Amino acid sequence: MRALLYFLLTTAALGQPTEQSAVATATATVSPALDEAGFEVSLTLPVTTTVEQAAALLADLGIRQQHLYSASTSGSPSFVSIPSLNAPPSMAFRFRFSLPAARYRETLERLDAFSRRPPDGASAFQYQAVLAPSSQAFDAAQLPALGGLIQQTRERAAMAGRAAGFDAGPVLSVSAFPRVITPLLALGIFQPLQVSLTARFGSAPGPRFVATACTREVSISADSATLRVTLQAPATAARAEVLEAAGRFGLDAPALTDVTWSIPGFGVQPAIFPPLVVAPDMIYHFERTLPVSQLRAALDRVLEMQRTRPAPLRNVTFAAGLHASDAAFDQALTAGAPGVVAACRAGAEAIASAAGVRIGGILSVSSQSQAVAGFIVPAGRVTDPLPVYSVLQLPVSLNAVFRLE
Amino acid sequence: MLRFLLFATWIAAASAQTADQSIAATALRTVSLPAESAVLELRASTPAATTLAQVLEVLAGTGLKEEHLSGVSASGFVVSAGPQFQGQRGDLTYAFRMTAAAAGFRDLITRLDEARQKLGENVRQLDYNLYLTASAAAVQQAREAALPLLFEEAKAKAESLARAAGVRLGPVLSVTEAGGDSFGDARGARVTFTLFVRFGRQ
Repeated sequence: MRALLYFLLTTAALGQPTEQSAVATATATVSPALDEAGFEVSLTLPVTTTVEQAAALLADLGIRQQHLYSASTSGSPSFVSIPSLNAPPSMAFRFRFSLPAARYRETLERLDAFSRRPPDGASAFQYQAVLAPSSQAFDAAQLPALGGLIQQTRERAAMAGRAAGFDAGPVLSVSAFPRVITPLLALGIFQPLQVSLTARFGSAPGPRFVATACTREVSISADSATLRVTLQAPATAARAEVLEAAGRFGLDAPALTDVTWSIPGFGVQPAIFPPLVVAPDMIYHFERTLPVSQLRAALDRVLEMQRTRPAPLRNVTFAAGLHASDAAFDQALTAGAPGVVAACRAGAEAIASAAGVRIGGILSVSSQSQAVAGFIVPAGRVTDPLPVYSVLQLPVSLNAVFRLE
Repeated sequence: MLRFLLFATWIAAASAQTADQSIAATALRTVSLPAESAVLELRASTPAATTLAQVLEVLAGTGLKEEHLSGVSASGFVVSAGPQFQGQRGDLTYAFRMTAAAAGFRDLITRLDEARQKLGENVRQLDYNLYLTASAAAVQQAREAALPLLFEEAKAKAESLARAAGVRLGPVLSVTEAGGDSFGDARGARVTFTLFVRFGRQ
C-alpha cells in the first residue's frame, strides 16, 4: 500500500503520462525477378486521325485501343520532341502496354521493323521498352525481407530505448510504404528497389496499427476532348468582327476564354514591352470541351479556318487532346479501388505476420490517386495555345491503416 | 540526403503536433568504419541486337553474372525528314547491381577499366558507380556505441531549450532512431546515426 501511494504521488508530481515509445526504421534492397516487359509507343499521324484508325495501324504489334495512354497535338513528356513550325498539324497517339518478359526481344524486333516502314501519313514513330519486375514480383521479393526488417527495427528500438533509460516494449505500430515501380512507370529508371519499414514499440496508449500504401494502374476511357484555338487579329478589328469570323467555324462567344495582346515578331509579353514601336495584335483564346466523337468534325472546321483565314484574322493556331470526363475518371477510380484495397490488405497482413501480430479492420484509407507528370510545355510563340493535357492511364494509390488486434 | 530530409520533415511534423506538451531535440553523428563490401551499379549501352550473353562476355573478369541483372530498357525513334525517315533505332541498356568483397575494390576498378578498353561492336558504352559499405555487424556495434552519446547530446540540447523556455525537462516520451546506412569510397565506409528524442516538461 505504501508503495502504491508512493507511486501515485510520484506520478502526480511528475504530472506526465507514463507512456514511452521507441521508433526505428530499417531498409533492405530487394532483387525481384524481371518478369514483365513494359512498352510505350508513340505514332504521330495527321491531326484528324481517330483513335480507332491509329490503333488499327499498330494492330500487328498487339496494340489495341484500350492501350491508349494519351492523344494530343502537344509534345510528349518522355519522348524527344522535334517541333516544326511548318509541319502539318498532327496528333501524337501514345500507347502503353505490358507483356510477359519472354516476349521482350521479339516485340522489340517487331517495333524496330515497324519503324523501318512507317505507315503512310506518319510523321514520327517512337518507342521505349523496359524489362522490370511486375508488382506481383516485387511483392514476392519483399515478403522474405519483412521478417528481417521487423527484427532490425526491434533491435534498434530496444537499443535506443536502453540509451534513453527505458524498455521499448511490444510493437505499437508498423508502417511500410514500398516504393512500387511497375514496368510502365519504370521506363528509363534503374534504381535499386528498396523496402523500408518503420516500427514503433512501447507502452503509449491509442490505436495500434499497420500502415501501408499500394498502387495499381487503371485505364480510363477517352470519352472527352479539349480543343483550344487562338486567333490573332489586329487590335483595330472589332471583337464582334472576330467573333463573327470564328462563329462561322463553330467557335461561338461562350467558347471565348480570354483576350490578350501581342506584338508581332516579339516573343515576349507586351505588358513588359508596351506597344511603342508597332501596333499590337489581339489574341483571342477559345476553348471547347466536347465528346470525343465530335472532335474530328470540329478539327475539320478549324483546319478550314486556318486554310481560308477569313478577315480580320491574321493567324489561326490550335491544340487538341483526348482525356477522360469527370464521370469516366470517377468510374475508373471506383472500379479500381477494391483491387487496390485488397492489395493493401494483403501487404499489411504480410507485414503483421512478420511482426507476429494480426490485423483487424481498416482505421483509415486515403487516396493518393494522381495523374503522372504532365506534358513538358514546349517553347512556343506568344500566340500558341497551351498544350492540352492528355493522360488516360494513371496509378491509383491508397494509403491504408489497419488496426492491430 | 533525401532520406535525411524526409526524416527531418517527419520530425518537424511530429514536433509540431506535440509542441505544446514536449521538448524535442535531435543529435546525429557520422562514424567511420572498416569497409566490408563493395557495391557495383553498372549500365551497358548496346545496339539492339546485343544479347545479355554478349554483354557478360565483355564484362568477363568483373564478376558480373546474369543473376546481377537489375533491369533492361530500350528506345528508338524515327521522324520524317521530307520523303525519308531518320532516327535512332533500337538502343538497349542493361543494368546490373552486384555486391563484392571490399578487398577487391581496386582490382574491380582495374577490371572495369579493362572492360571499357575492349568494348567491341556489341557494347557501345559502360557507366558504373562503385562504393563501399560496412558490415551489418560493424554498423550494429557502432550503433550500440553511438546511441548513448547521441541521447546525452539530445538531452543536453533539450535542457538548454527548456531553460530558454523557462520550464523543466520531464521524462522521455519517445526516441526515434534513424540512419545507419553505410556508404563510402576508397577511404572506407561511413555511417550516420540520428536520434530524435521527445521529452515531457514539468
